[in-house]
Amino acid sequence: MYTSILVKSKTIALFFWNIKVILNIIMKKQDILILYLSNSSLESNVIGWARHYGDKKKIGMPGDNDSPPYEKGIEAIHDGWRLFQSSQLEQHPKGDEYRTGYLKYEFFFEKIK
Amino acid sequence: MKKRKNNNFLLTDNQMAEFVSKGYLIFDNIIDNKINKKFLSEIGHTSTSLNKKNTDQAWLAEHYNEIMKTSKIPLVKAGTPLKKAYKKNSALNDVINNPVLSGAIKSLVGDRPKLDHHFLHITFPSKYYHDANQKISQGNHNDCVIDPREKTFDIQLFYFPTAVEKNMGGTRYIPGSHFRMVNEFAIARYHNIRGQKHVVCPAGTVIIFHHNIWHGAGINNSKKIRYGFKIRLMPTQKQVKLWTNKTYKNNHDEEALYWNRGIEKNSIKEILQKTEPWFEADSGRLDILNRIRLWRHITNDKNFDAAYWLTRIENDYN
Repeated sequence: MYTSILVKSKTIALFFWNIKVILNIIMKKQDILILYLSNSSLESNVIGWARHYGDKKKIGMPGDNDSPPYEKGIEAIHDGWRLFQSSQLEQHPKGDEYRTGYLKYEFFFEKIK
Repeated sequence: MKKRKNNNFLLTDNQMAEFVSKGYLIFDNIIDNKINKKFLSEIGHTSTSLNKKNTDQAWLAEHYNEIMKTSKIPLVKAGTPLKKAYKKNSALNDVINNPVLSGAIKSLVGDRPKLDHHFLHITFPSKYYHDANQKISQGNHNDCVIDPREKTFDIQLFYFPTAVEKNMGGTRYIPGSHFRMVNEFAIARYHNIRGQKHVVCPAGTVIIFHHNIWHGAGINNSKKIRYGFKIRLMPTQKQVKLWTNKTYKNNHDEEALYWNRGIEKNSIKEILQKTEPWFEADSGRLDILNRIRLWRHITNDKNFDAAYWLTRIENDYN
């Protein structure tokens, strides 16, 4: 009888533990870091940046910091950010070679918390 | 600033080069305090504008509308010559006729510019806003759709009748961004750019921006209202040698490149080649090329160059 109660208790505990694990996975949130670099290499300097938070209480907004979070793109990797997207190198269209526009070297990073 | 025979103050050669290079010129405290007070009185600003009892956001819109209706800022049709835009005794007439400012306007867009539009920006302290999205600063943008003009440019005068302190969220702007052809808020993703600046200035300051400069408003975390009056002007003539006389000549002396003793300090060539902290290694060089091209245009000198940037790629014998 005692063995049966013990087994049942363990099963119930396991059930709730599994629920907790699932909830943790579901409830995890994504933080985003966008870096603009001075050339296509991750080793180059940060010239622009934006932060976005999974936590609703935190807001990243334009002009919120005049100093970059990292000096070079690679430092974000060293700090645990996972790179999931970067801009492609594109050929310059003929006749438009000298026109400048958007920042070219964009890197998207994430941290799941 | 040069004082000419006709009593106009025109920009110096170096100021023109600064404008071509950075896309703005700042005139701190240029407008007399009497005129600032007159302007504030004309727009209906009172010390009780911020009423602690009226923190309802609807009141803000009501207050704004009231200022729009009752202020003495005239409705000016787009395309009206600047000279006819403001009544003689009005504060705005005093502002645009400030000798230094009118000299700068003449230097940049000539003596008969047209008014595109004007607008009074009123930024209330953030605590007056209830919506979360009203407590977020404005994204970076430029004030135009894709503008294909490479030589002609409009200017925007930003007049600050009161002092703008650091916590008042003065306009953020990106020096040297005016050659970047983008489409308005498409650049809002760029929250921060290395070298960005924020307007902090004494009362009576006017900043003249190139129409294409990247900028955005900050949050007003003070207890005071922040005012900014914008006047956009378009030229009606070719913007060539408007600040100088017809005999102006560029320095065509070439210098030794790279293995050299440094560029002459404060020369036109040095100003045009100063890089911004946010310039990419490659596109930043193109921005310098574009500055030299604009300088060629405004000096009517197709042979001008700095450090062989254009001469090198124009040496084509095919």
